[in-house]
Amino acid sequence: MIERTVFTHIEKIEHPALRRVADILARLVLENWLYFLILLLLWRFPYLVAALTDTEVAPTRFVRAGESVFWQSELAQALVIACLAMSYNLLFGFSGIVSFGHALFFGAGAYLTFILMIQLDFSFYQAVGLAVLGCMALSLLSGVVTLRLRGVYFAMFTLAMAEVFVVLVRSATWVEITGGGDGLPLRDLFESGRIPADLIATPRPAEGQPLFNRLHMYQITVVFFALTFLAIRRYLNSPTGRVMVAIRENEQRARTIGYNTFYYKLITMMFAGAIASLSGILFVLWGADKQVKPDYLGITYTVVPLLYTLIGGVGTLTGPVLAALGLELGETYFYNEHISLGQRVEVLSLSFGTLWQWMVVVLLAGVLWFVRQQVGRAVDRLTLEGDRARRAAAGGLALVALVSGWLIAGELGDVWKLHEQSYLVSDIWQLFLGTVFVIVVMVLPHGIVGTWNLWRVRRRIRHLERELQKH
Amino acid sequence: MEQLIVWGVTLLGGVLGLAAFRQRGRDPVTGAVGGLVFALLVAALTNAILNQVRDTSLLTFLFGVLGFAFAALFPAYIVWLLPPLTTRCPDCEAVVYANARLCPNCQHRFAASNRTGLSGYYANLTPLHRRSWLLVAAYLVLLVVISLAEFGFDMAGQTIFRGVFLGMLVFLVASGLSLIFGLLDVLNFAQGAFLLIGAYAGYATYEALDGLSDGLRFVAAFGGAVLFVSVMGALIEMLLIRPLYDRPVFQIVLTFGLGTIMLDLVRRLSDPDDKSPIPPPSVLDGQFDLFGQSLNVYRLFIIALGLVMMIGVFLLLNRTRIGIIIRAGVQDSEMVQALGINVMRVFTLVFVLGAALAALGGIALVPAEGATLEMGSKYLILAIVVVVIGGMGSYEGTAIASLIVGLTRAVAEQLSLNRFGEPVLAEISILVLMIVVLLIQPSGLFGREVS
Repeated sequence: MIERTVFTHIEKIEHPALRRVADILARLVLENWLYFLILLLLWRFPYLVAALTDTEVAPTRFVRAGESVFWQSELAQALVIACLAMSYNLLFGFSGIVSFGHALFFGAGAYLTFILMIQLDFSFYQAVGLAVLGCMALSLLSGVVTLRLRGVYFAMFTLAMAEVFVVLVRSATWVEITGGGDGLPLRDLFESGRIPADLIATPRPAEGQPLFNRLHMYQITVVFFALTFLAIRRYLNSPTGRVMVAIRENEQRARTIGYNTFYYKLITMMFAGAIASLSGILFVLWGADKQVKPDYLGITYTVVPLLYTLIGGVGTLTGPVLAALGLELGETYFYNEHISLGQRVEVLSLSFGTLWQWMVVVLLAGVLWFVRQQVGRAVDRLTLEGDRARRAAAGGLALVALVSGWLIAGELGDVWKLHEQSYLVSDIWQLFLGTVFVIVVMVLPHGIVGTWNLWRVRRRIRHLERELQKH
Repeated sequence: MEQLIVWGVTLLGGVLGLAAFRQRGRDPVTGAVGGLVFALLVAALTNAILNQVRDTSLLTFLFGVLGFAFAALFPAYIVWLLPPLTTRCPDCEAVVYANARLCPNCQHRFAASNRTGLSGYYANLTPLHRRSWLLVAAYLVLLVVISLAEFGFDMAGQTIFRGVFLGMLVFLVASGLSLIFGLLDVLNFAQGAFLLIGAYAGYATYEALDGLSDGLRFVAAFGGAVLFVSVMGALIEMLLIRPLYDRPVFQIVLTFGLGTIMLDLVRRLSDPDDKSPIPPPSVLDGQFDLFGQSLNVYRLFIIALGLVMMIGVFLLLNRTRIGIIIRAGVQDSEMVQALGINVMRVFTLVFVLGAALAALGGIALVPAEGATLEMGSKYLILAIVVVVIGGMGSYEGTAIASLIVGLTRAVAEQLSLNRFGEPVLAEISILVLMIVVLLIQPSGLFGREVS
């Protein structure tokens, strides 16, 4: 509706150049207003939190770091992880390369940068540039070796390669260079002032003056995130990116058309490697313990982006970002909370049973569905009545089973005194993530954003069909 | 209690034997008799083990006799599983050697595909796989020569022993990976977690049976580990993997995620995280001298276990009805389904078999090295390398590649220890080996050739 009015007004402009500029501007705003809004929100986030919690955006010597400062760091780290997830999605979602060694570039970027700084006395920016180039070379090399392999071999090879690098970094032979299993300590580097002041997340507060370093670093991270997002979006809309999507859909066909798919995959791998290495450097700079750990190369930081990509939506631009931000910030927010199976679920002070009852009912529904699937044919053979009667009977039985399961679970929960035992959320977070992951893989193969998009597209198609029938 | 176990195992053996004989396609009477014989043999073996553990049984003498019978009959059973030595010439009805190329009587030429055994195997190889065997032989000789030249005789012997030991362990994980991939087209990244859970479940079983004798607890730990992981594997296959057969990428991702979830669960449930080795029963506890080094008998037991499993799975695949279904499924599972076989059930069976083999490897490791949380990923990486080198879905490839990988790793470790004082080369050597093999033959040494 808004679009129609805006563009009718633009069409009335006489001057062609002016009309064109107005058209481009209108398109830019109308198509991306949500992104602009979110960027603005991210940029003002520290001030927003500061206003809401009545704390300062920057710590001074006399005021302890408050909520705003804490959430700056948390959101920034979540943004960095979101960048990593986006770069993974570029491979997994947009080019069909299922790499299990993506953390290699994440960790290698950080390691290369700081090893270059410590061992060869490069300045910070030189080192970052060289490290990104090095990571691109590394991904080029690994791409040349691995991209000739087919799906499964590729997955295994990348996994084995990343693990080997972890072992190499951990080994005691080059402990002077890599720091061995304890990680590369960076404290000296930070204290000698060789890292730009705006990239130090935990500065020492000077006399009375509020320190804006962390705020600046937060803003740098936001800019980095926005640029990454833009770059990936631009890349996907470029001719090369289009070929990538074609390769994902059908590599054989893309090759038949005449594209050198190997070459396009290599470019994408290098691009993703560069983004991952930059996120790795930023992640280390944000880290509280000021060191590069061998874990950054290992399986954890491959699982994390994989998880977020899958949960958010494979092959969607915003999915990984949403999943990463939501889950990372959620983990921080609920970190010290306790949760109990016997906890009551309350919505608007109305009680809807306990968590335990919900779990039992969901599980029971799953079991019933499975049984229906497995013995469905036998049931069909036994009940020879009409389709509707059979369905009604089955539905009634299922309903009875679910309701009785609900009641029995409630009783059992009371008997076992479930509300008395509680767990720390940070303890069971991994388990929660794993469960969400399995559920998403089994039930929502397109992820949250992907399913949402699909649903919208379907609704649009249905709408258009109805319009067609009318005329 | 122990008698109860003996009779339970006898019953189980009877059922298994019956099932086995039915699978061979014999008539019911043969099946019943065979099953009974099999049950008695299993009972005898169990009792022999128990008697070794605690010499108080009333039926020691009887079961001792049966134990001897078992020792004599089991090889006979294996031989019975093997193909016949002679065959009849279709032209002149003369009895000729089964693997003959020509009939000595009438010069009838036998087709290569009819020949069995080693020569038949060689005759049916593709030229590429013949070259692979040549490469493997040359590489093994090279390894032995290098270790002899570098370390001297005794040290070389020790290194090779260590390599074979590692190879057998890796085989237990890798064979499951390869079997599952071959039939189901699922790359099971959770295989390492199965090994881990096998080790911890076995340990838990061992701890739970506090009052029993050491040997019994040891056997129970093996049984508990394998049983637990089998049930878990069956559940995972039926509930999680089966719905994903039409989405192959998600299968890989799912098993990968499941592996990390299982690792996390084990970490949460085990306290302390790392378990110290459990003592093996007195039969397997002891030292022997080999190449100037005192070694634990238990290591020999693991090597024997690996060999038995290697041969056992080979026989299962090649000489039984279920084996031929599995092999046919590897070739073309849709066709097998079209022939009226419930492939889904066979899929579950193979998944369980793979998981159980990994669990066996895990619990076998516990008396030797204890249990750590890292063992899963360590052996998974090695198994992946083995499967890549050997070729996906190829049984002999997996077997020979696990030996190669074990030996390479041991020799490289020793070499870098000698040269640099640090085992750096151990991991690199494996990666280099994998890269080289993939460059020579992208589908692995014995894999199906990729067009």
